[in-house]
Amino acid sequence: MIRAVTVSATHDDPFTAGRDASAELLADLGRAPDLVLLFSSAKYDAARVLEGVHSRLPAGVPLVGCSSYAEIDTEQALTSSVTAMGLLLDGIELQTFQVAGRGVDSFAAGREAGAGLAAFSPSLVITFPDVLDMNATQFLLGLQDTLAKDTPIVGGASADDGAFRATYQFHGQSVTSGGAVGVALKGRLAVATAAKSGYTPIGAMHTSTRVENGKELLEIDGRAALDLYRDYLGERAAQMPAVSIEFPIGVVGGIAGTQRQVDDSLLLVRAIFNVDEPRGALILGGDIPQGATIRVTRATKQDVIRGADEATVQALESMPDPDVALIFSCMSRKSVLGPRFPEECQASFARLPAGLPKCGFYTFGELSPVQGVTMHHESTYTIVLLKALS
Amino acid sequence: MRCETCLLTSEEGASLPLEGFLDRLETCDECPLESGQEPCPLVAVERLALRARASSRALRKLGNRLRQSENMAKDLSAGIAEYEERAAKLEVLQQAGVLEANRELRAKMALVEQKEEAILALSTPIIEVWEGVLVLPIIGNLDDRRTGEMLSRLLEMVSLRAAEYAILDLTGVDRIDAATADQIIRICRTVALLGAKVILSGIRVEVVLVLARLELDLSSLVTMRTLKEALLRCGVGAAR
Repeated sequence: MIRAVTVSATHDDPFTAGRDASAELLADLGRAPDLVLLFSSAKYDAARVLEGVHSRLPAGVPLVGCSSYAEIDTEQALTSSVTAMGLLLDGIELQTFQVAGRGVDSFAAGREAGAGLAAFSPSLVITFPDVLDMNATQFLLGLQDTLAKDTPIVGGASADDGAFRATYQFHGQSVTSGGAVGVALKGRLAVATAAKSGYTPIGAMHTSTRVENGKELLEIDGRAALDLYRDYLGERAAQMPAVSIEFPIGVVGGIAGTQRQVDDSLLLVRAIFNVDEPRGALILGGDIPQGATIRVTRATKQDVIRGADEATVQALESMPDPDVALIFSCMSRKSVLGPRFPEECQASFARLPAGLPKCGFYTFGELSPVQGVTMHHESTYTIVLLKALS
Repeated sequence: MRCETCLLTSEEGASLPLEGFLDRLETCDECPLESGQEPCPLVAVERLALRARASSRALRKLGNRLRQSENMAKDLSAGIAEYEERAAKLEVLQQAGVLEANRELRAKMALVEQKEEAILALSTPIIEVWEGVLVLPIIGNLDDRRTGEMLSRLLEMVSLRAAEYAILDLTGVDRIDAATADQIIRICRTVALLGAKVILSGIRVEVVLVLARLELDLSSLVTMRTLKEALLRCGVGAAR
């Protein structure tokens, strides 16, 4: 059985927050963990947080994680915290990895990470890429290009406070900004995943007729994408670009030929991170192929909460008695929910077995399999249930 | 007050939860170990150290909870401010929307009025078919407003043209109610006061029945079956 403890520490001083989290983790676990997952609010100095964590954590304990928009621990979703999960892996092997960013080709970076893990033959890969530096869709495709096709890849893109300026990755004792970090697990491990957005399409189906650099949607049905999108928003267009995070673009049938099979439903949602007024373009958080069938989507607070609930129910159908739950939810969901954002975790946690250790964060994009194929999502609540097999 | 059983050395003291231990310790202000009256055994030091660590941890947890609660309160406060800002924006938008809607409504009403005027003018054509002979074909229902307009225009034309005859042609009136019939009679009588001879033409059976039911004195009215006959009566045909 995997044993895990999650702690959250909040302090004005980042070092103290990191130190308190680490001290509490050791006290609760009663021994040094086999692995630490660390998610630190972007409000903290990431390097000082990690120093604090290592001031108490025994040397050599593998650690991966990243900066976050908000954090999730066993009890709740919260902000301004350093949240750490310590895991005792019950014989499950692990291998951490880190790939450099800043100007590297994202697909090649994914291939590099995958090549380093291929010999390890992982049962699960958990990764935290920096989408401000690299293209997470391409990074994922690179990973999938080198790993076994059915290897589940989960995790989330590191985040900041919503300014989209810089995010940070933790790997052992190093803090970087850019690239990706992660950990691969191997052994008698069962994994169940689910991803649901709760967003529903509004209006007609359209075609993405001009896309540049994977994420820049310039034209929809031959019209400037921004103009058509503004038509949908109506009076609320005055609040762009902030409001656009609440009205993501849904890709009908996912992305054919790459990340999933064609289907009529909306399985992939792309958040709009920014707009390019002079070019009339929508800048998305992830790739969207030219020629894809797309729809503008929206969600009420209840829809978002329902999405989290449905994802949890679906994951539990595959694994009713997990040892650990990891949760990666999109920052856009927190934006939609506002002060009510903890409610989606409350709805999800109410379904999970009492006392189940949980950990996660609010991301700039999620990675989770859907129907057996890992996809790069946005605006989605993803849940990963883990269990050591006896 | 001195403890009956020493908290630092007894099993009872060791088994107490932290809060209970600290409560008891607080009241023990005559401790012979603290004052040096008795030598302090190692077990007491060990237990005190253990309790100190547990206290430190509890304090840390409480501090965390407090700070997290403060953060939550800050988030809520920010959320409320955001909601208020959004509500204010919506209010402005709503007011702007109402003003815009009112403007649009007023513009539409003005347009409707203009159209009504135009329709009214079109629905009361008065044609001077011959010198001194005016024809007013009546189509559709007559209400007070239309009757007033019709009467006013007819009087004006009769006066202006010094008309000898005014023909009210009812060929286009399929049915008529009592009020409309009364209006027609009123027009006839008023026009006659100007000295013009009024002829009603094209009266259908249904219209005649309604006029008969009104029990009015119609002896002064000249009625003809068709407009053609009415025109002949006015000498239009003879002149040609």
